[in-house]
Amino acid sequence: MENVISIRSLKKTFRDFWLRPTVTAVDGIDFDVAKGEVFGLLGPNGSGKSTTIKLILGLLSPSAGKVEVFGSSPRSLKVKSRLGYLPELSHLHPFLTAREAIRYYAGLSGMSSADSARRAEELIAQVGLESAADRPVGGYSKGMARRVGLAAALVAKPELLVLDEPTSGLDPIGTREVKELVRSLAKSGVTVLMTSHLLGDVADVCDRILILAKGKVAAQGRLDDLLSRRDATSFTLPGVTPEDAAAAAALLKERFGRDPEVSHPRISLEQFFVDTVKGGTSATS
Amino acid sequence: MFSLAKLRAVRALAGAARREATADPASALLLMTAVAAVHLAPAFQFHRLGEPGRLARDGGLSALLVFGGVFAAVSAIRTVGREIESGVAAAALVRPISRTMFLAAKTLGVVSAFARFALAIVFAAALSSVSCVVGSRIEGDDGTACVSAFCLLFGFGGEMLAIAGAAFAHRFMRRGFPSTCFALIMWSQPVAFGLAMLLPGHADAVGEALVGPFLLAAASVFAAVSSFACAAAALSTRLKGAAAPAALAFMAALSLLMPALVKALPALAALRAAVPDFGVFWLADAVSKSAPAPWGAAALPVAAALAVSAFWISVGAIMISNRDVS
Repeated sequence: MENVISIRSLKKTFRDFWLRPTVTAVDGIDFDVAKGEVFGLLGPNGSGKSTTIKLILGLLSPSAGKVEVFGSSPRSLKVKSRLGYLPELSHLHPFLTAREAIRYYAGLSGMSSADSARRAEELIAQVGLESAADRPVGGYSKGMARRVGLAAALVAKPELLVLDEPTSGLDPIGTREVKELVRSLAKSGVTVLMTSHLLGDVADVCDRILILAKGKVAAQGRLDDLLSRRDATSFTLPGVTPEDAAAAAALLKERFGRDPEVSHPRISLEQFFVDTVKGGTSATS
Repeated sequence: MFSLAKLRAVRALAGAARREATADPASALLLMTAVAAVHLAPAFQFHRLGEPGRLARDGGLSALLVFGGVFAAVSAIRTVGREIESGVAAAALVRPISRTMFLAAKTLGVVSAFARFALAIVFAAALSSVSCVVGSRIEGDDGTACVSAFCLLFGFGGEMLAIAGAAFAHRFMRRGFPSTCFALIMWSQPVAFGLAMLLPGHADAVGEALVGPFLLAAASVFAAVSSFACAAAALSTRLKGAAAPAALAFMAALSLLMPALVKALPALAALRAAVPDFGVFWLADAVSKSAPAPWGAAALPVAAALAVSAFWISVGAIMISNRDVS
């Protein structure tokens, strides 16, 4: 499969004004991201996630090693025209309205005024900012600014989307919408590279992950391979009474000689919240 | 090399830089102070300092140089240096634009904002000069100073009305106060000048009030300050915090001393490639003496400004090309 991102022996050492090394944020990492894949970059604070993303975007220069995006240097204008980026903090000009901000980023991508205006309207609807589109973004909440940032990242219909903490500051419904958007973009062939501290979000959308620790690769692989417990098997059977469950557990114990774990499957809190808020149902326990 | 898409990107960057420069409260305050000073200074003169309108014209040029210089330098440092430090620049640099294009477009936006600043000052100075000429006709040339009350009313009153209009727009239309204030003051001065010309005897005074070199001198100061803006943008790609303003202050001092330095040591003339020489730019003396200044006199300052600007944009392009942007 064609690789969109290819990283080999990548190293980044930051230096002070006198060129003395201060910290090595990324220390000899290798990985590839294939076309159409949703790839998660994980790690604790200071592990080198954001530095790696900025190296991939060409904002930082590597101290050693090689970064290729679409087979070229990330600084190439042709490569940049195929990229979309949502930074960890949505850095927007506070005096622009959401509509103006999206049109500004469309202009930076070389779109004409008419195309910029049309695309801005599409994205305002897509990220749910219709009612606040003409307010200066300086007065937005973090979640609303995040939505503008996401629209700006999508404005040029990128083939590679780099999302740094995309759900940070969003409410559960916004989080769900972003995850659905990532899934639908991946289905349409867009490659997504994302970081998140919310491991549940990563588990929901990523095909493969890489865990960084102290600038080095601690683990990488497909989520199923990394998370599946090969030494245990679970069964889910709907419509089982407590008596039937007890009888089944007794049978399993008799067959395998060990007590099985019997429980009701749980939906996620996010799913429960979304169902409650959107469905208007009341639930108490 | 130059595609339509790149031109659109430059337009977007320059437009945002221009808006950013005029949206800062300090920018509105600088313009407000400069315009008020230009209008009020001749009203408080107690002795003639030369031919009628000299104080107004020289005051206008000084306001353009000092207040305009601070405005252009601060705007350039903020729109380039602070954006690089804060991460706003990163969001633009991941788009299909080169770093050189980013720097050039941002500088263009700042110069465009300064052009609006200069427009207000030039019209204010012109109106103030007309006011002095009309005032001298009323009182006669007996050594006392007088100004036209209508010019003062239109010019200074127009500025006050602009500030009130900006406050109204902020309160009832949710418009940003500094940017609206800047725009309204900018437009108030040409409108005030135009209205004053409708008054009897005022249009006749324009020829005497705007002696030939005034506009040339204003163009010359504009060119000098624009080259300072280029230097400010270039220096702020690398220098952090107070280092860029300090370097610019040193450069400004060197510019003012340049004529004396070059006279003492002619080899220092080579510095003119990097530092604007006010011996070349400053035509105020010609203005004050009403001396005829050929249009060719404007060519030298403009050529010098273009050379200095090209030097600093090139230096800035080299400095920004390899720096890390976080």
